[in-house]
Amino acid sequence: MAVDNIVIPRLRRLDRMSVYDRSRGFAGTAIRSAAFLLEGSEVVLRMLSLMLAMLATSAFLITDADGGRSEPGLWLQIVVESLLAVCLWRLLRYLPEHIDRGTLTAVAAICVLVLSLLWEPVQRMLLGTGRPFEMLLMHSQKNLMLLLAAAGQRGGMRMSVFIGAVLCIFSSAITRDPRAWLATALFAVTGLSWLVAAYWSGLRPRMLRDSGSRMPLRWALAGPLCGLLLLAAAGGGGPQVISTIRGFLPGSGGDGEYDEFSRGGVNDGDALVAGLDDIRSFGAIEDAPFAESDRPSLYDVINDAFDEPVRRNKTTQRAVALPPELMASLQQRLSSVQEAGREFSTHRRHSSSRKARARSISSATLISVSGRVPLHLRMELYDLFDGRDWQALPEPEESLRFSTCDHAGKPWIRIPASWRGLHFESYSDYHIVTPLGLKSPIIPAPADARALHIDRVDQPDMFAWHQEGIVRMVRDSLEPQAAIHLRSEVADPQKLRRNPGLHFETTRSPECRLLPGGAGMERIGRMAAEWAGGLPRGMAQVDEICRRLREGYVLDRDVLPDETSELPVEDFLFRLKRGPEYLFATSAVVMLRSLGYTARLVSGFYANPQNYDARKRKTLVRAEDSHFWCEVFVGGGTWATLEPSPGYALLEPPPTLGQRIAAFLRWGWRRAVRHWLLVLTGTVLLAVVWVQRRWVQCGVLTLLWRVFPGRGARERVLRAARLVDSRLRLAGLARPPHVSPARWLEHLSLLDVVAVRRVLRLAEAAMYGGGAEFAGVVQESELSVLNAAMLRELSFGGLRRLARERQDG
Amino acid sequence: MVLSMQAGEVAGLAGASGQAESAGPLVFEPLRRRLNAALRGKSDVIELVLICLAGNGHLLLEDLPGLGKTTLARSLAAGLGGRFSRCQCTPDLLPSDITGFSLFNQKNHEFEFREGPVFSEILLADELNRATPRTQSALLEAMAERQVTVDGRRYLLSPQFMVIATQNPVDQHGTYPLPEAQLDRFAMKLSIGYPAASDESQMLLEATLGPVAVERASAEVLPAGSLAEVQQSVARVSAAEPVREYLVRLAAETRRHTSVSLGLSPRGLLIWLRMAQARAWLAGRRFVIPDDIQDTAFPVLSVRLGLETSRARTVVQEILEGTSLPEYR
Repeated sequence: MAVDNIVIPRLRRLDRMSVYDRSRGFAGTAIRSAAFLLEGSEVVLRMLSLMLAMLATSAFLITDADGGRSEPGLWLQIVVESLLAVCLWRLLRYLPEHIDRGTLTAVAAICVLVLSLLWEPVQRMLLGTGRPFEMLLMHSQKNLMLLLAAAGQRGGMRMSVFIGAVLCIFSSAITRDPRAWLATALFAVTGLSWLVAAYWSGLRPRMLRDSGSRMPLRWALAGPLCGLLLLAAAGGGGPQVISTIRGFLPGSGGDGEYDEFSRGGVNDGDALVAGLDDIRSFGAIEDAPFAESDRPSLYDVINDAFDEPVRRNKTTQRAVALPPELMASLQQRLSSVQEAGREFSTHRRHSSSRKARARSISSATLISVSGRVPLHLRMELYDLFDGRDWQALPEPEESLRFSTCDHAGKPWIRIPASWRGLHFESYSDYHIVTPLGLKSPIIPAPADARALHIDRVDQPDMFAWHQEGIVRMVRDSLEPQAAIHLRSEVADPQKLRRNPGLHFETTRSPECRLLPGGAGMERIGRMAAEWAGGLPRGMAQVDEICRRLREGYVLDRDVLPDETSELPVEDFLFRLKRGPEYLFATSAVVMLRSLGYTARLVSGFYANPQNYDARKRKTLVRAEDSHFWCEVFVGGGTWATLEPSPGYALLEPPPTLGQRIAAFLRWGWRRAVRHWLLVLTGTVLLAVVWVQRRWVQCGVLTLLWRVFPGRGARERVLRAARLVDSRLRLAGLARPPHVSPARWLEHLSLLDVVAVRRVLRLAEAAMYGGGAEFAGVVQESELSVLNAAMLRELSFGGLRRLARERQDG
Repeated sequence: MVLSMQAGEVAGLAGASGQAESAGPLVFEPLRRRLNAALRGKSDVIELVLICLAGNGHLLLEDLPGLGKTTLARSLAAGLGGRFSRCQCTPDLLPSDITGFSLFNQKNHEFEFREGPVFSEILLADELNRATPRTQSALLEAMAERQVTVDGRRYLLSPQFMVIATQNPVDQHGTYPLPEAQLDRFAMKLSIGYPAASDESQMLLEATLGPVAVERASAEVLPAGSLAEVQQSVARVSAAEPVREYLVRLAAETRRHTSVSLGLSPRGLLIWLRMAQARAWLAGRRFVIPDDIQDTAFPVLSVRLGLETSRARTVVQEILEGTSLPEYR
């Protein structure tokens, strides 16, 4: 009964057909109270229908966005559409009684359907975006559902709930977003309440003479609440329960048609879903133990990404002459390095397994990187080059000890660097690298990493040097999923280039200056001299070499030098002019060494900004992101990272505020140019709105006042008085704060505004007369009439004219 | 200052605030007609006089001679149907000339009290500032407490006792300006001012016709006991929290204003509220609105802010403009 007490007075306010009017024909208080009761269930039904429509809209819009839109934009759309429905519901109260609501709803429904479909070509033309056909249909259904729910006709409400159910099923079927599923679940439990309310409001004709029964609101709410509790319990049961439930939901499908606006499908279209990343099928394989054995080693990854090396025939004579010191180093190194497989051959051939796989299918994620990208993660350094094979650097003999330090209450392992010599202006950077599917003990880190932290690993002896500047853990491989926090002190590349202390000389790494002899090498040397010989020695030459390689050659992993070629780099540089990035990096190193620089090859991973997953806020690194680049020694123990391959970029320092603003402006300009028609239309609209802002403001305020006129006579009267004030202010007839509204009207000589004066008098009574004094002074029906008359008397156009007349004197 | 209390407004508001009590504002209608007939073209002054009367306050009329101060007081007393007394204040006027005195009766050898002019409903104290301070202060007790004490005995005055004092703003020679304490006991200070030309012409016409017209208008008298009822009704008019708060802010503003040496006293505040209540009642409302306060601001404040009349008008306007009205919430 308490609920009815709340609901019935609300109904009286919400609906212009008051309860009294409807039940006028019935005699006796009992019958009237039964009518109250049923009207209560009618309102509950209406509100539930609207709520269901909102939930279905949320589920559908989340699905429609599918992570491709910004979160605020998505929620703004949900809120705006819901508000529109609520506003429509409230505004329909002002519909005159003689208009047939059923016919009006039907006409509006047809309009909504047609307009929703017609909007698509306009959207494609204006915005350049569009929706696939199935989404388009569902959008029109969603709009129809909102309209029907707002209109509140009995049949319309049922239709709206039916459409909502279809929308929810559709959305749940094709989305991966758990929020859409949540909205669907809420729809289901709210739907139970709706069914109860629908049943009870259906009993209306039979209940008129029976005042003893009432809608079991408690039970109608208790059922759905139990459902919610069940869902919450399932959520609390951990990921296994959730994933098991998720498994029962249907997966996606497709028909092989190609549509540029499609969401995905089974063919290899643009939006092909990688089966390896997130398999959308269900089976009892949650805890299957094959994950561990599937992890590739670094060697596997490189061979997978860059084909397999051509094994050197031991009987084949070396066609490239090696200088004696290189020969000696090689022989000394080969005994240890080759056995460990730590060499990389630039002579490779297409592997059969790789060819078979579709190019567009991504492989498993090896590493995920949080932080600024692009990022070069070093795994292996190579110094000796015999024209074909690169030999990795050995473990450093001079062993610098690791130490721990505290940072923000966590133990960090300091990565020592004794060869700091130059002073650079550097900036701090921070990354989290999480190994996922890589089997290697080497910690993938940027070149300037200075400290690392792995949770619960605080012993320095857990770490060792893999190579100079590259750290590994003393174990078989890194722990999958264990995040490695890395802090770097990065030298600003621009400032590095301007540093006068660069001397490019070293006595430390003679191997990094050695080159094999032979005609091919001399040819490459001549090319290097031709490219950069005219430039002053220093970074100018280095950058010119990289620039020429990036601009004059094409990156293509499928093109490999001839297998018979003794010097694949020469083949790449002079004949093919395209190839994989290890040939770019090798070419750069060879050319730099021929010009007398100390340079070396680096292999590792490239965290590509294109692989940034906005939802996880991480950049995913896969096997195909394994990469080669090079480093040049600039002096003072500092190696500068170089990127000679086209399509790859070095990490820029964090932009300053000015750069951010400039970038934002550039971005805005590009968007504006791309959508010039939309921008033009928007600008014209905005200009119109600005010029007519007072009208717009007045319209918005009046609309808000109509939708939310206030609860109870007192509040309604006060809001009406405030509207009078606002209208006067917007028209340029602002009331001074020390003058009362009634007196201000007299001052403006607005004496024939009877309804306005009456409203203001009532507002005075409401404001200063106290609650008891005001009670019963005015009826709701009188207020409605007064409000309508008030708007007529205080037309904004008339007020503007008056303001102009006053200004003109 | 515009007082807009037309009969139409009164009737219109009866609906907004419920039916007025039996002693509604219409009860003053004969009195209003009488006063308007007596004092042509001064309806706004007459409204304030009625407000002062309904609010049970005392009135100070400051004006030049011959502008109708005495006429107004006489008409008011005649319209009320009560006793009217008048004393012309001069430097040799004694306190006992106002309050009354005890006289030895030779017959019964007892002192008997002879009531002074304060024992009436309306006392017109003409040119009050010509009386000595001693005589002026004899009025203090009568005005504030509506009683007099003579020879140790307390004599109660009529509950509707009202002093209408006049003073001449010119010819200040030999006068004793009223002290602040005395001024604070007056509810209002009013000036009648010269009538408009048309009203003067009408007045001359009536003078040639003889006293008939005036007499016809003056025939009606306020029913006995009505004034007491009215004053009780006025006291019951409610002042809501926003109004009280507005009034307090106004009072604070008077104390802050640089031109005002003596801000509004709490007693003055109470009197101001009562005047606002009276105005609300006369407008047919049972609650005070800020307009009531604003309309009574000048007569109430000008008597107690210690300023010249012309300066007082500016200052009161500044005070009102500096205090915003309560927002509709």
